[in-house]
Amino acid sequence: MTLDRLKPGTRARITAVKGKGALRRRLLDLGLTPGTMVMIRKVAPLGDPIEICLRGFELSVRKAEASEIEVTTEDCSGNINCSICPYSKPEDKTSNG
Amino acid sequence: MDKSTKKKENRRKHRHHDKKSEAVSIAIIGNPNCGATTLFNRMTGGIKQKGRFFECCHTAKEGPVRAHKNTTVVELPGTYSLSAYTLNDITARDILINGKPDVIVNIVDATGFERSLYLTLQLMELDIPMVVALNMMDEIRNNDIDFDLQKLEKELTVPVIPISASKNRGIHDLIHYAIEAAKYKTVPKKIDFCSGHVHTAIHSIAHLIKDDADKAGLPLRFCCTKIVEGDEPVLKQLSLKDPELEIIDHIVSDMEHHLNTDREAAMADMRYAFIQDLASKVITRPASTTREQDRSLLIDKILTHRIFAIPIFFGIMLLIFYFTFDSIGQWLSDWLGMGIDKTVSLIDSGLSASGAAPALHSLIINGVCAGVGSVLSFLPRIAVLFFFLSILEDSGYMPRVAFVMDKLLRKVGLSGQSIVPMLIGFGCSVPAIMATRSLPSKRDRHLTIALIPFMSCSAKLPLYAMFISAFFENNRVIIMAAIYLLGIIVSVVCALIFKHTLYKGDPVPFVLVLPPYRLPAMKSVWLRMWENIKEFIKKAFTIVFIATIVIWFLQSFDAGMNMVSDPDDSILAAIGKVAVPLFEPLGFGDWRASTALITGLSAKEAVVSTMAVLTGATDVAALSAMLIEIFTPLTAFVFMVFCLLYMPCVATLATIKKEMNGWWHAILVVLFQTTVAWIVAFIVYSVGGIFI
Repeated sequence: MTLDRLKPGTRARITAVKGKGALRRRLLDLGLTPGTMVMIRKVAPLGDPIEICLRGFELSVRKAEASEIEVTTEDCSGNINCSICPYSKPEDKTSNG
Repeated sequence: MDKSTKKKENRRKHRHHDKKSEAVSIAIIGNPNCGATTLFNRMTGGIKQKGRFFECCHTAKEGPVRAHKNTTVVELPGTYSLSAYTLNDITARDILINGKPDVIVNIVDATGFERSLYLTLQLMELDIPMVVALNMMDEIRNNDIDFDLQKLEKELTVPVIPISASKNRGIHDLIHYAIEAAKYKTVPKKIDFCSGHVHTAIHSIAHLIKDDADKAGLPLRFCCTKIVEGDEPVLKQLSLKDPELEIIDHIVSDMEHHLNTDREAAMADMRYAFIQDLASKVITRPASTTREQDRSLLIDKILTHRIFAIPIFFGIMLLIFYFTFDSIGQWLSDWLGMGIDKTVSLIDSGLSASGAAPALHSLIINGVCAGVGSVLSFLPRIAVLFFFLSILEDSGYMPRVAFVMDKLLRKVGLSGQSIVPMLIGFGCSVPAIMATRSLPSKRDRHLTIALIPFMSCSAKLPLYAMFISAFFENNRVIIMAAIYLLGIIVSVVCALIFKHTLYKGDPVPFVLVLPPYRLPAMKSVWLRMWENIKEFIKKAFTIVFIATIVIWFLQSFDAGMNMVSDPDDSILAAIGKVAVPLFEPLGFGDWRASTALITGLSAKEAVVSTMAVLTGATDVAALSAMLIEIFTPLTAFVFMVFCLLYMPCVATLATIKKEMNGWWHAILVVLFQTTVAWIVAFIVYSVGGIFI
């Protein structure tokens, strides 16, 4: 599943950020690291950029960029201490293989 | 007054050179929209000056710190990371590494703690004394969020000072700690935020490149993490040899293999893991979101609503223009205009009474007063326009506009982020062109810069107002709207043409943080407005003033230096007549019109002052009467269209040259815009001629 396919209001956990170069660097710098919880906030009026919420802030990305972000939509309500804007707690980290 | 401050400044500069050890330079850096500008204004009182960082970058503001001698502060452009993504990031990084400030004040948005701290961790690697200014503490306290500052300080090994830049709290302490840190050179300790394989990799690389880093004058720790990330500029600066590069490659691929991830993700992951851990230790929140964030979400429900968002945006823009041109701007302009007329008639009668020479009388009344006065009376409109644009910028609405309009702009080959510089362009092209530095791709930047001058800037306002009061008094709103819309339409058409020819390229990424809405600090709004007012007044009394004197001189004398009674015999008429054939096809073949266009290159306001001087009109009513003799309503409109689109003023040109790196681009922009202006004006004239 990729981030651009999710409906507004859905939460998901990032599993990988694909793509390369400056854009990927930017996404990682802004905290879209594997294991991070994100929520789809809304879709722009004309249908393209989407607004996502992670680590307590709002970020806007185009669907093209969102399609580079792989996510899983596991049921994680039990792990999350945030009802509106979820982010993973330290013990949720799953990145080290 | 002015002289004494200048003297003081000179003295300070000398002292700066004499006792260099005592001078302290502070660099403020933080995420965009975290309050850095407000902090800068609090520290300096809004005073800016050229300083040691100024030459390398004009987007960094520098100024003296209030009540602290020999202390200057520079505000670096906002950035999320020291990796080179946008020009702003590169500038910030260059100034920190090459400019070597004495102390870094890292401003951290306490309400966006995790994201802000990502930059902090990188700044700590630079081996520069540092203090953390934890901003927005008023919001934190309002929401009963508990920050364990002592623990945070201990973990980060740097002083953490809670402040509220907008409420002016904690600034004094911050300056004190920053100066102390600079004095005692308290560099952040190396904290091990990474463990395991990343740690090993950094350690091994450190051993390998220590000498190279020393030689290149770069901080070692910074080099190591940047090498692990695969940062090209650092690798280039270190000029490593092939065997070293090979070993590094080996170390990195080893790390990637063990972690089952790649180098970039590994570093980002390590930093964020450390930050999450730290955040859970020092922050206790009663609720998951703050009241301000909740409020922001509510506002966004309306302002980025699926259906209402776009109408609301256009509504807001219309309202701003209505205030500028009609209600508030109109009243204020009328008052000031009356004041100026009174002053001019006082000077006039004074001169007559004292029996001044006719030439001097003519110079002062028909030259200076007519020219400068006609421009100055438009000051209130410009102030009103900048007031609203500043509020838009500071409130957090601009990124939302980018979000809402992105798809539309992408259709014409631009990005949503281009709209912010475009909107600023309605105020002035110079800051607008500088604002393009936040765009990530060169293609977008160049395209946006080429189109910004089509957004009618405030300097062209006096011109439109002059023609409207002479010709279209009854259709004021329609004509004004037509001019602004035409500018937008032309830029859209040009963008489309560019998209299919010069600037093909792929769509560029759009990654934009939407900060919470905040009430703009009136002080910041006022300062920005005041800056622009000052700039306008300065222009009126320098460029426009000189232009009016030169124009008056050229039109009052003939080639034999005899004062002429009929301006048609003057030197200026001779010059203006050379350009006449060029404008004849557009319907305004009068030499006074072409002369005004030429002087308009110095500053667009000069078009008005030149017309005033050339027609010998001393007040607005007389000017209108004279204009009716030169133009018909149609040619007046064509003239306005040409002025809207033709080449930008010298200040804008210089900025374009700087931002596009070279005169070649600037000359291309000039040719492009003037050609477009001529073609569009010709079309308007021809089509208009059929109907009228």
